[in-house]
Amino acid sequence: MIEKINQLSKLAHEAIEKASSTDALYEVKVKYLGKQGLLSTVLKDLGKLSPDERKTVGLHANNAKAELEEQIDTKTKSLKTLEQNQKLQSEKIDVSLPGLAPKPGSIHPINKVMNEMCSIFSRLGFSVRTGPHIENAFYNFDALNIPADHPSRDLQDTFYVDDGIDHEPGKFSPWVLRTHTSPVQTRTMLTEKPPLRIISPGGVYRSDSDTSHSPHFHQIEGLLIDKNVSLSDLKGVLGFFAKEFFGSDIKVRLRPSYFPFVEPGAELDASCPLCKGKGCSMCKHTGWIELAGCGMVHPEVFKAVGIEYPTWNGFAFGMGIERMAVVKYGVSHIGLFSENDLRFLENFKI
Amino acid sequence: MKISLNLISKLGLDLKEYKAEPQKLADMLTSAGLEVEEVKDLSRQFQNVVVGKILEKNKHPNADQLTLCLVDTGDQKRKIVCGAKNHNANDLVVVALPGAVLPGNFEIKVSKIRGEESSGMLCSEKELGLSALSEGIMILPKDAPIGTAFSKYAKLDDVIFDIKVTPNRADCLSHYGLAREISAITGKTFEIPHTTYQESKESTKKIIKLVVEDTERSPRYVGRLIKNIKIKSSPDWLKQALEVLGLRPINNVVDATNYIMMMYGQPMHAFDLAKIKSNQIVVRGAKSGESFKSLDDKNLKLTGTELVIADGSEVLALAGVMGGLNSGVSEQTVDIFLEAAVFNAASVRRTAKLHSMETDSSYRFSRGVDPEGVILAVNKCCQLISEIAEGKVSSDFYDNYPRPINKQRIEFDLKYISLRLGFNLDSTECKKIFERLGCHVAGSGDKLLITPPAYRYDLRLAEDMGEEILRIKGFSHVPETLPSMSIQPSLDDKNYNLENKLSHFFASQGYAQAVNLSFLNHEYQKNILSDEANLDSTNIGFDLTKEAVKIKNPLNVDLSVMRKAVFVSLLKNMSHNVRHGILKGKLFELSPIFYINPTEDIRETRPFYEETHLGLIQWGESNQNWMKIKSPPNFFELKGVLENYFKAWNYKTYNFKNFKNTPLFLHPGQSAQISVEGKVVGFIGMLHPMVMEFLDLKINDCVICELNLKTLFMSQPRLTKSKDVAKFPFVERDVALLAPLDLPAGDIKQELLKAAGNLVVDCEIFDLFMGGSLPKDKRSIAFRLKYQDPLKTLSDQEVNALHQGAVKQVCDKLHLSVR
Repeated sequence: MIEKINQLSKLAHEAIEKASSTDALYEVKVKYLGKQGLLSTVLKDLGKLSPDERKTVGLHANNAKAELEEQIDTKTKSLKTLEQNQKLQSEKIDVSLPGLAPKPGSIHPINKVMNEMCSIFSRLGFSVRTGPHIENAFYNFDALNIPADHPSRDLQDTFYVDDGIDHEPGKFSPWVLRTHTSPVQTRTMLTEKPPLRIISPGGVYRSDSDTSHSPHFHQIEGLLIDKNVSLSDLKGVLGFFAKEFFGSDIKVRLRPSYFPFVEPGAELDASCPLCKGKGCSMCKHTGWIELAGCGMVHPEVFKAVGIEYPTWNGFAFGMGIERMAVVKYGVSHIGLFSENDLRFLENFKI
Repeated sequence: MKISLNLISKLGLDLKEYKAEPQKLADMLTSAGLEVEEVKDLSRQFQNVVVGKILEKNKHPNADQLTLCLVDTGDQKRKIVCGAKNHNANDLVVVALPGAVLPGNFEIKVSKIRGEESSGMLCSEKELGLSALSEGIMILPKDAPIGTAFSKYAKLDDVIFDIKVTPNRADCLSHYGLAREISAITGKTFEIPHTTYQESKESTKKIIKLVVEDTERSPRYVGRLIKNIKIKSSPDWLKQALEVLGLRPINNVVDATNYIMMMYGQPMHAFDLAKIKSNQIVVRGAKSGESFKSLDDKNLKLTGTELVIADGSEVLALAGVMGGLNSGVSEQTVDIFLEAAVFNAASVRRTAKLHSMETDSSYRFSRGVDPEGVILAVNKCCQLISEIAEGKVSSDFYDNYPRPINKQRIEFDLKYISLRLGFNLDSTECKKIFERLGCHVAGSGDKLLITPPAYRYDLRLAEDMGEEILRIKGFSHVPETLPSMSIQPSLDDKNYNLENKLSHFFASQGYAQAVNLSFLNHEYQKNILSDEANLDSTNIGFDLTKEAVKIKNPLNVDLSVMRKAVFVSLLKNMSHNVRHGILKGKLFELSPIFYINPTEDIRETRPFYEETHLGLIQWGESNQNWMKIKSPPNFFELKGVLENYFKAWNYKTYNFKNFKNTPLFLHPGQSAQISVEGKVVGFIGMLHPMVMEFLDLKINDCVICELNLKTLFMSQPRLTKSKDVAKFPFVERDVALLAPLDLPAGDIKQELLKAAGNLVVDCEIFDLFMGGSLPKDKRSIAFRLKYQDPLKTLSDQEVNALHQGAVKQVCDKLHLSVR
């Protein structure tokens, strides 16, 4: 019987060696080791043997079985790897074909700049306020120390809104398209109590239009009202902003200027981020770019909004968004901002 | 404002050290707040331009119209070809040598003209930029020294500054003002040369009567007669002085008044005495309807708000703005009445605006003329007219100045500098700065009492004085500090944050953000919105029936009216893109829209209404990728994105429904009214073919959407609530229903959801089929319902009973059959 087992084992070993697929191997396994398999059939006669013989043959058979099973397992593993590799080979794709995700959209550069500016100022405790675009001259001018019939009104070419009333000759509708974001200052000071730290981005309008001016452009306004505020704080706050926005090597300087709602009034320049102050076409070879109109809030403004001065005092500043985008992103002309050409907008991915 | 350094020197301020380095002075002025926009060195303009003498004039051998001249330019004799006709041998002429750059960036080089070498050019006045027209070349007097630089010969060694004077600095609108300013900045002092002229025996007051009826609008009025004037052209120095300042010389008297205005900032006017009727000058308010013919030959009808200078019968001048055509100085004028006055700034500005007459005079008056400077200017003018027009100045003059100006004293505490400007300055230095600015300073220690000069209208408060310190001391003294702030927690504007979040959402979904001008062409907007009156506001979630807001003074018709909807501008953007070959695109914009409607504001009612809208546009035919997968049609892609938005923002329900009454700009079969939580918030729809035709584009597939964010933001932001994940499995059941073509699938879905009760967690439409063996008026819609019980595993029997019950109920109600 042992001989028979050895014979069968040998045949099985050969069959396992020969099997070229997992399926063939499985067939071999069933043929020799299955319940109805050849080895089992041989062992059916085991009962006829003496107990001693039975023990010896049984042990031999079990060893042979175990050996075969081990061989099958090893072979199965290698065949599986082989088959999987073949399958993977056949599944090869052309990875150079383009991806199929939908195209992303974009955020308009003006909004991109506004968002970034707001988030920088928010770290200094400024919060956002907004206001209407059609403004009453009171908020846009009078309360900001720009009285009617004063030449300071000529600083801003104003669009007047038709209010349907026939005004006396020389008098205008009190409704204007806001010429700056400063009326939001007025509104905030009238409705909220100091201390105040606000930033106000948005569209503004002026009736001039050429290659460097659009009649509808964007500004951001800042206002800080507190006790004991100094012009040096203004310079420090805008200096912080300039470094965050353009880079840590940016320097700022103040230059005298005139805005009726601040006194002293100044223009804040930043060293040109492009040429680092050496002079280039962006900064008209001066090494500096105009960053903000600014100054200490004028006592007349506090009077107009009913905030007690000098108990409370503060500063205000205004910056042009388009200009920031031009400097930061290198936008070549302002016409691009309102044309909404997709080839331009695509530059400003989210 | 143009300033000549030579003219400033004439006032007694020595600027020699800056003549060589004018940019240095310009920088000093700029850092003191008087921005020098341009520095023009006239002597540089005429480098390599010299006086020459024509030694020989010969015919050009190859050209009849040209001459070949031999010219002595001091250093050598040159051959120069010339095309002019008016020159002869021995004439002294202006020669531009090779290397000279004439106005218009015209560079002179040695060149061959018709075969003859020409090493220079004989110049005309026009070529030198000295006049607009000229006949032939410039011939100089016989005493012109050969070889001298032309700039030196013509005394063109001047430097001109173009200064941007801010409206608060009226005192700097003259050479005298600038001289004072330069003196304050540099510390150099100066004294105006003495005025001398002979007075005649004639008396102004005896010859003419002056009545100033309105001293409010005419606080100072000085008038003086000058007789026996000889009107002629001004001497060269005066003509030249006016020309470099950009003024056109007219005659000696007019030029003298203009010159005095430029020098001392005092506008003046000369009336022809012979034209003043009934020998009186009246300063009075205009009468409504009164007519006036101005110097520049315009016929005005006065409204009654103007201040005028009149004689016994008619208006001679609009006070401070412009003189009249008939009373001005002419070649026949012999005697003049010279006016130098101060008129109320606001009143002059109103009149100038009203009649659109901005003049050098009105410009100065509306900013403020120094009442204390009038007499100096009159005297200087009398001297000049007696010098150049041989006028005889009367012995007396009118000076109506009932309320002399009384400058208020300003209390200035030195603490202001340390507290508000951020640096320290001692009392002595502070005092010195104020005194240099012409202020009278009293007081001691930290508290100064300052009386600013009358011409500084802008100095009224301690803050103004603080700025003066900064201007003179230099803004660079301000350090950079961060404010020591009190904590004041404050929320951002809610809408700003929501708009921002929404922008990023749509950008993430593939849409590019657009920003448009708020105004557009009235006709364009009307054409797009077509029959505005039929656009019921309940229909689309906002009001297009209201009147658009018009701009009173638009730049042009294309920017004349505010937009009532955002999509109108987006259509323009689509046109732009399609015309540039971008045949497929997606844009969105968040912007305010405007119309006429009363709205509550913080202090009053506004006549105008503003609200923020979201506009979306998507155009172009759907395309196929390399896997042959088609992109979804525009309508359903946009609808899907909107559904994502509503879900992402936690709106409980939303609904897309056919219009009962479709807006005319939308395709009536492919458009929907959008409601969110029961409120109509906007619309989505394919553009009506008529609008497409109007836009005249080579595409015909465009969906637009506009949502009223005011409504949508009302209940935002919302809290996100976490839902537990169901523990028990879900079971799906499909059903295909045969339904009439015009029954919306969405309605059937709603009914199924309702009928299946609360164990149904989702209902998906997964197939749509028409034609084939189906009746022509029917379609098959396949639904997949997902059942799930939060408390137990549903058995097949339970689900089947539930599903079949629901299907039967819906079929019965809507008369459908299961396919």
